[in-house]
Amino acid sequence: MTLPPHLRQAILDRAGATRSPTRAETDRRTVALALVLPMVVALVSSVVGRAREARSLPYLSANAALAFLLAAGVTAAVLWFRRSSLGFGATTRATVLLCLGLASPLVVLLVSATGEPHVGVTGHDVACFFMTLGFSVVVAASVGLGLSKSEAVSPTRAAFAIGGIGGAWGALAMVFFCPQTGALHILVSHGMGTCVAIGVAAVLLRRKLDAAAL
Amino acid sequence: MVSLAFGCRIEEGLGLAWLAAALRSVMNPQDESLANRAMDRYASGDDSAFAELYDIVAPRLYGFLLKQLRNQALAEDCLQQALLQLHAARGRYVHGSPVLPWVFAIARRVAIDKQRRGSTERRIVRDDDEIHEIAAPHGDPHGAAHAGQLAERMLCALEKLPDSLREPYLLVREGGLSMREAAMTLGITEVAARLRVSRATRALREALQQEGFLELPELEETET
Repeated sequence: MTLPPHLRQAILDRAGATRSPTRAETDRRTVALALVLPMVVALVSSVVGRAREARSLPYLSANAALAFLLAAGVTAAVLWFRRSSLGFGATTRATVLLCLGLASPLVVLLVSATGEPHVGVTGHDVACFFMTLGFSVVVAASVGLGLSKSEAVSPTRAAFAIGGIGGAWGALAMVFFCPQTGALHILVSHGMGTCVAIGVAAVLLRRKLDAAAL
Repeated sequence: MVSLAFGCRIEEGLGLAWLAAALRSVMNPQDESLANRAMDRYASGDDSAFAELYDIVAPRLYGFLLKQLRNQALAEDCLQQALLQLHAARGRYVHGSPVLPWVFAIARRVAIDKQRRGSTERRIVRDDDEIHEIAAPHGDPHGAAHAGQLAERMLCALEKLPDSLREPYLLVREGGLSMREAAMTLGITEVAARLRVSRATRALREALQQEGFLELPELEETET
């Protein structure tokens, strides 16, 4: 079956009529959105947060360093392994990165949860839930926008992994923001906020990442 | 690089020659390299490279979409959309990475999207050009009729294959992708792609044999 000749001109005309960013422009945008904004979120949370209220400086520093290494590590891993135009590519690699993305914020949360659990839900628990959700979604959205149209094979998996990146940076932001160390508070408020954020980010970003979506 | 070779015994000089020939038509590595270079230039901002890229990629992409969707209008629509998506995402092309699996992955997802929206009126498309090409050298009207019948049965058998087998088969057969490229397009391992193409070929052979058609080509995969 031969290719209809009218298609060629129609496609070339339509492509010529719409401007698309070149690789250099795309790279600049990706770096700005995928790296700068998460750092800004972490910085803002450290300035406005109440991190020093109940914790010693060495404890806070160790927690923050671990959270930063995990967040930066998972971001670098995901960006590094997505160097192919196809995105994550093969199933095994995508699954490993997905697990890495999802696990890193949870590791931060588990390490942070060292204090005695309190009983009952307080206003602080609710506030922390929404702060975690907000920080994580903002970061995930910025990374996702930076990587828009970059996933040709499995946009859903990529969206979840980027949700994980958002969660990791959100967990770092919460280390600075929230002074509480109660295990129940950390796991329920921060943990639930992270999980919801990963889900929200995946839903929001799936089509944005898809190279085939209009 | 993986290529396909077919040991093919043809009954009465016709048989499944067209199938074997098509399966042998793995994309020329030179074309592949040209496509990569054209895409690289296009991603760097050279707009004129898009026409070159179209000429290399579009015929194979169209063949794949046509057999996958079995609807000419829809295949044209998907081809157009896939190439415009490629245009929109050109900044995402990574220097040195193979362009064909990327384009085919985009086209495949566009086709899936279209099918999900329910706009597909699946109908069998018979490749009359291909049939004519096979029958003409024999100058035999019975040959043409036989080839036509065979092509229709072949398309019916393809229709019955599950997507997981039909897609890799068509990527290799119509798209001219290597096993590795087909695997990259589908996000599976090369071994899995090879297995699926082999199963698809076996299923098609069995289906045609049940219809009473001749001896069919044996698939051999060789590393080159």
